Amino acid sequence: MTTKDKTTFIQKLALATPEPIARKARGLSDRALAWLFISPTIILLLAINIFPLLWTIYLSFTNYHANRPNMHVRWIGLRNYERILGREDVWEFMQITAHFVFWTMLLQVLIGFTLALLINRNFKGASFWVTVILIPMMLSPAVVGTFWTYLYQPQTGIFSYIINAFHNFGPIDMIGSVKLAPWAIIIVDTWMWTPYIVLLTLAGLRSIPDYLYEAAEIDRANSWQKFWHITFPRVLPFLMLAVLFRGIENFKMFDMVAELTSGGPGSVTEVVSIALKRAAFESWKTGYASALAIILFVTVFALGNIYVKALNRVKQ
Amino acid sequence: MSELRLQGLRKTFGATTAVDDLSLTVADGEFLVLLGPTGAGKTTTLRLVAGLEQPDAGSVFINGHEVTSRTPAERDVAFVFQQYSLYPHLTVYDNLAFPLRAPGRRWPEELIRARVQEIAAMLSIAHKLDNRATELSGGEMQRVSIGRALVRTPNLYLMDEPLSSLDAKLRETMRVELKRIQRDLGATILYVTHDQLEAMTLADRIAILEDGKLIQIGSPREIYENPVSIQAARRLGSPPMNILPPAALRILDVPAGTERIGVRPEDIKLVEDGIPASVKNLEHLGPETVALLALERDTLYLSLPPSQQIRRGQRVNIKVDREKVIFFNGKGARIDTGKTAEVGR
Repeated sequence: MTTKDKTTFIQKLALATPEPIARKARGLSDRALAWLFISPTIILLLAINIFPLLWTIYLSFTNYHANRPNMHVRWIGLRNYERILGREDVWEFMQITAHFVFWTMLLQVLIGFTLALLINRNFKGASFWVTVILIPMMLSPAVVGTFWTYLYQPQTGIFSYIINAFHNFGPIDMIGSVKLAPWAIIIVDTWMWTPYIVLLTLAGLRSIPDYLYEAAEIDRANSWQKFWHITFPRVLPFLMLAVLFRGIENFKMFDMVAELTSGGPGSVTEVVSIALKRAAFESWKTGYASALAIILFVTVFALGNIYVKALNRVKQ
Repeated sequence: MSELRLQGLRKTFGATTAVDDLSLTVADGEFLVLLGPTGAGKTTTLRLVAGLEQPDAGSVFINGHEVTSRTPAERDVAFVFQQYSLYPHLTVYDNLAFPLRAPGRRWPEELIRARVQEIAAMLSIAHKLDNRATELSGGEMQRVSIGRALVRTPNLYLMDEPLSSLDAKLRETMRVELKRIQRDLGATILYVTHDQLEAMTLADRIAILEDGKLIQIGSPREIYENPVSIQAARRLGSPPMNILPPAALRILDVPAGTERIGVRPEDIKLVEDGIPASVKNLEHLGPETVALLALERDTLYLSLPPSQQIRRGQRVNIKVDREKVIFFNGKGARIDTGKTAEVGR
């Protein structure tokens, strides 16, 4: 299109715009225009995130049951909260969740950090091995949960087979056993997410300049001193960040546990989100489940805040 | 303190030869400066001496002992890095104390405290001992870095352009301090720089490196007055030596093989009657004025005392004392006219 054509086209466009709209568009300030551009996203955000959150807060104060929509909905104030916080098994699944988060974080940090230290050299095929190690992280949690049920089969699963190769325990039923099932989910989560810790730790390790180690070498420091004074302080913020993200995720962990154990056997692996799902979509105690969700939200939020404050202090 | 000897050192990185058959000796208590442009192999040489790199050929001797295969820790040297390389999470005190807390050679804490205080006072950083290493100005970081090297009494000190990140004023102050410290301690120092002023003022001897090779070694005065080649001649002195064809300065009686001559800016005089030139540029530096003159086909630098006033664009006449002229052959090497020059070792 020549310039002349372009002008004409735009002129035609201008002419085609109805007068009231055109006038309005011309009169809009920059600010108003900016709002106009982001409003679709804001509307979406409100509809999908904010509104459900507020609605859930409202529901948590009612005795709404979603499977009985015609039932008369009463405002019951804090009774849902009282019932939740007063019940014993609430504390139990908080405990189960805490157990899960604690052990997964501990194992992942120890294994991940060690792996990162080992890979952080320039050996042949290093990048190949890094890619291989990262594969578990890229799978979908539901899929991981599913195929690990096969791995965990006591008679035919490879997990039992490998353990028995070291010491004959007989067929090991991870998922069916009350004592072992919590460890089953811990192992799967560690298998899946250790690479994440490895990645972030590697980033931290690679940010350490060589000349710091060289200076320590000249100062005749041994490996422990180099680790403690150079490596560890530099990597700690990255590690803490990784733990923050994974920690929050694991608090909310649902799909992997659901596929693997569905909260069982019994309720031995019933982490909070599974309990939530059962309350909401099996017992249909929607109001009650909403309250539980809010409690979960507040807990994660509060813990996260404390953690971030600590992280900021370490970062400086 | 000790003597350092390098013999036939060679180091390549892939296709590049960083250090090529380098041999030199630093006497006990000597301040030797490695001078050269970027890529000359100065830092690599320093790292080879420290043990941070292994040579492809050649040996390093400290105090007569061959240390080529020993680790940096075993060589007992101190290194001042260009980037200071302070431990960022430790305080200044801990940074200075770090070398004294090395396992196996750990000093008792009271001795460490005394020593750190002493060094900190010597370098005027005693008031910053509790600061974190990152909470310091550039000059302070530099002094902590030097302090960390001084805190031990190693065989020798290796310094890699330690003053390059400082502003000019601070550099001047630190130069004087470094020289004083070296004299007080009788330290053997191998110092790397590309700054000819630092080399001139600090060195007992200068070793000029170019493309990994040693092209001249000698006292600053020796090299300044008797450079062995055009490269060596242009390394020292600011503005650098003028290199011209002999005809440009009307020097007709030249030794055989001369293709170019060199004359220092301060050896050119303004006269009433001589070679015509016009003043292209003037720089008033205070104690001297540097003029860029254009001859028929060449340009050259002239250094004048401030009492001689000239203006840009002025036409002048110059003359050169033949005694002060240095003759170079086609390969850039100096042609010996009876004056001595020290080459190599």
